[in-house]
Amino acid sequence: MIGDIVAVRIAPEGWSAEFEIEGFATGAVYNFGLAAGNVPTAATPYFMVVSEGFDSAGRPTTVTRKIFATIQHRKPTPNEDQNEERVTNGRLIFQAVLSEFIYDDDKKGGPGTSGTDPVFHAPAGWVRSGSTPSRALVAGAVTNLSTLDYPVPIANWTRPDFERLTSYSVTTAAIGFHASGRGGRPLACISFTATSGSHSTTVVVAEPRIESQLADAHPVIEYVGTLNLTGFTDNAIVAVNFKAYPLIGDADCVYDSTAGSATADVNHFTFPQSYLLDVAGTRGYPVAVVNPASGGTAGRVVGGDSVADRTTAAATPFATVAQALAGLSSYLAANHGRSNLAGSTLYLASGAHKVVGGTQAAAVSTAAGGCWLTIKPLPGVVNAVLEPDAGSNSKIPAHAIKFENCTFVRSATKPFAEGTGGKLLTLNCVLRDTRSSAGTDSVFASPGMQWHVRSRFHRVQVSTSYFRGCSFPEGSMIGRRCFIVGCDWSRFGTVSKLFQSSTGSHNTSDGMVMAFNAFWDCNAGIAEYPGVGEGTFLQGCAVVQNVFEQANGDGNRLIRMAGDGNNNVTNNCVVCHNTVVGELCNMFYNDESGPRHLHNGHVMSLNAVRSFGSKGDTFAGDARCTGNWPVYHGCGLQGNRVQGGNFPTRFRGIYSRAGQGDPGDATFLNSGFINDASGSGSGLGHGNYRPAPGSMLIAVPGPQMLRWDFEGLERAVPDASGAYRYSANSVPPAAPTGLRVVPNP
Amino acid sequence: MAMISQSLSRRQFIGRTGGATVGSVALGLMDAAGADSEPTADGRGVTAVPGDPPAVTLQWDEGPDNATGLIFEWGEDGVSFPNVVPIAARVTRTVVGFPRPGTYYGRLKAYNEAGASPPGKVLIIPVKS
Repeated sequence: MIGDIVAVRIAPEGWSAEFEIEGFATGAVYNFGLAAGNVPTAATPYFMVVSEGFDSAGRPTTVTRKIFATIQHRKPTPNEDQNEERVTNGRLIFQAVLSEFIYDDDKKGGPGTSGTDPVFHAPAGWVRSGSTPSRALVAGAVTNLSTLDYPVPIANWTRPDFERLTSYSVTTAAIGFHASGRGGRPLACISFTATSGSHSTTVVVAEPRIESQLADAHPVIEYVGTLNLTGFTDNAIVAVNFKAYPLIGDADCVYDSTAGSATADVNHFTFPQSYLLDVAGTRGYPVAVVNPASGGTAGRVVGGDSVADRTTAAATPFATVAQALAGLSSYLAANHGRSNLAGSTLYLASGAHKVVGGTQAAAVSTAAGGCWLTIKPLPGVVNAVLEPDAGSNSKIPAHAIKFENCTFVRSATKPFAEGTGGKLLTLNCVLRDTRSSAGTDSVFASPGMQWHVRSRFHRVQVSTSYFRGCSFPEGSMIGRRCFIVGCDWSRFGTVSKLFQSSTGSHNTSDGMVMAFNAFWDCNAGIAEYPGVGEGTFLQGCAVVQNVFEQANGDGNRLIRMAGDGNNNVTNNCVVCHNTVVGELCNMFYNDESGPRHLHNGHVMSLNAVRSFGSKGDTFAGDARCTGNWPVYHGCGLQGNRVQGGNFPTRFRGIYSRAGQGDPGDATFLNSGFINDASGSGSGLGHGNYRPAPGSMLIAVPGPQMLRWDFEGLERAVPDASGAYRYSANSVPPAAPTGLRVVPNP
Repeated sequence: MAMISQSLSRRQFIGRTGGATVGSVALGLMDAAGADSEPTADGRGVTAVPGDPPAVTLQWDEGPDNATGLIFEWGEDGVSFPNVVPIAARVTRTVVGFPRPGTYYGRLKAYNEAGASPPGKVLIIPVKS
């Protein structure tokens, strides 16, 4: 019958569907029934889709999704004014875009699929051919031709490993994000497994949490797991791995950090953790003290770390760090049959210390010993300062060295230390360059794997590292993007970039996690871009609940993710709950020429951004530049609030609102921040981007994947777009009225 | 919160009224003798007794729901209000001690984690011995 929807097929890329309507001609009129703000209504056609998934215990389950059809396809340039339509066998064939991706296993296809085919519902008349409306369809059959795999979570550890375990227990934590995150949960769960020899134990953590006592610069939402190692053999290495289970997905897409697992190479920044279980202290854990004022070459190494042990060591200190390291190594060789420094502690007395190395320590073993060598001030000492050793070869004579509560100060272009390719951790340290201009040299050279946890950086440039909870009150460049969570960065001087660019054709941002950070006053007046990610993302990335502020707009992009250029491909990028103010966001496109490079499998939801530009075929004047069409047509985009900008996507996503142009243009939207100090506002920097009453950010539906906002405050459902929740408490109250004098009691 | 702390640091004299705890910052009040005083159960503050400096009871309409505390400011010229009395949220009456009889000027503010409200209307307060 004319107007019947006789066939519905999910297209292979998973972001659109193809329809056939009996007896319709080209030139049809489409009405997807979306209200203002792209809010779906009862007149919006939709799919009911059953996907594979996991429950909070990591057990397989199914998840049912309602996915809307949102906009019809158009033809590529130069025919962009025409819808993509054809008539075959008397049927109009056209395509419409999906609000979310439909995956290859969302069907009744036997083992390895969800077991249920999608169905399609449409009101009468959502397509009209002349005066003839399409007929209503209820639970119409859908053929799922999608070849899009469920994505693998982007996940990583949130805490460094390599500690010595002094009891039969280990606590660690991880984080993960996925396109299916929703309902206050980024994942279904994370399981942690500890293994040592024939022993193994697993704990499943369903709910992430914030451990506010850790005093990160911004709260970190993480999955924390404690593993009971009772029964494990003492004096052994314990490997710890995690699996990240997405809410939607199958066994093939569970991320497993175990070396050699099917998904281990998906996140190339994630490695198995290793701990040394030595409850009995068999391996020996000596201490030594360095006192530059009273020490000598023949300091004393003491075999324990009690108050009395430290007092004894402090009575006969070494003069330099290098001497102490050599002394500790000799002690271990003589008493415990090993010369590596793992588990040793070097205490610093007051005064200035050359940080490490020198030829005196050149012979110290750098073999792996299972846990950190720790350098920290003696308890109560507040004025021990570590300085670069300009006269030494500056080798770190340990496989893994941890600086704890240390203060580093330098005034010259010299790294504090050059590593040996092992591990480096700064924990609660202060690293300061006293020069007025930011140095371009890094604070450590060749350290191997570098963790910085709740350390504070002034002016010094840091090479690519894992950052957690750090602050950068005088921020310089901080290496390539890798892993950065819970940090606060403020620009100092003329920093050309926030993150270092990738090199060559390899995108070193691929697989990164960037979450719960603030980057203030970026890039003022400098014609460069701090950037979030660039180039090809095949593993994907997670950019979640960050604040990016640019105080002085200069027409460059504040963040760019696989934008510009002509050869980027992206998959599995999770960009949610971010506030990006003052400058542009260039997202997922190739603006120059073909061939087609696909940008697919992403989710971009509940962001509050200055702009959202994604150039395509019409910009390039090349019909092959349609690789960004999943983005350009709004699949995977939900609940975003976009102030303005150029090169807008053709469809902004459901529950989304967007303006265009620049501040001052009538089409530029005011987000309604409490204090917009970005380049779109006062330009003073360090604004207050919480939504004020009446803000367009408030109460936006969307797949809210986080229970808490940027400040660790619980979000409502629905809550505001952007990094901050909306709360009546986030604006000052009105003054009380009716003040009067009454008789004294 | 920083703004609130600055206001409190300008305190020159605070009469006998209740203390309040705002967020994690204890705003203990000093009475004329320099000791911390506690609010009465009904939130009205300490009742005046003979020999104390003159005191006036103030009342106002219930404040906004999103306030975490109130501030009563007063001065002697109606222009500056250097004296600050913190008051717990949802309290609607307090007793304020003044150093001597005279005419004083006071006003109320509310505040929360996002900052303080603009001051309310200035009240002329005649204080008798």
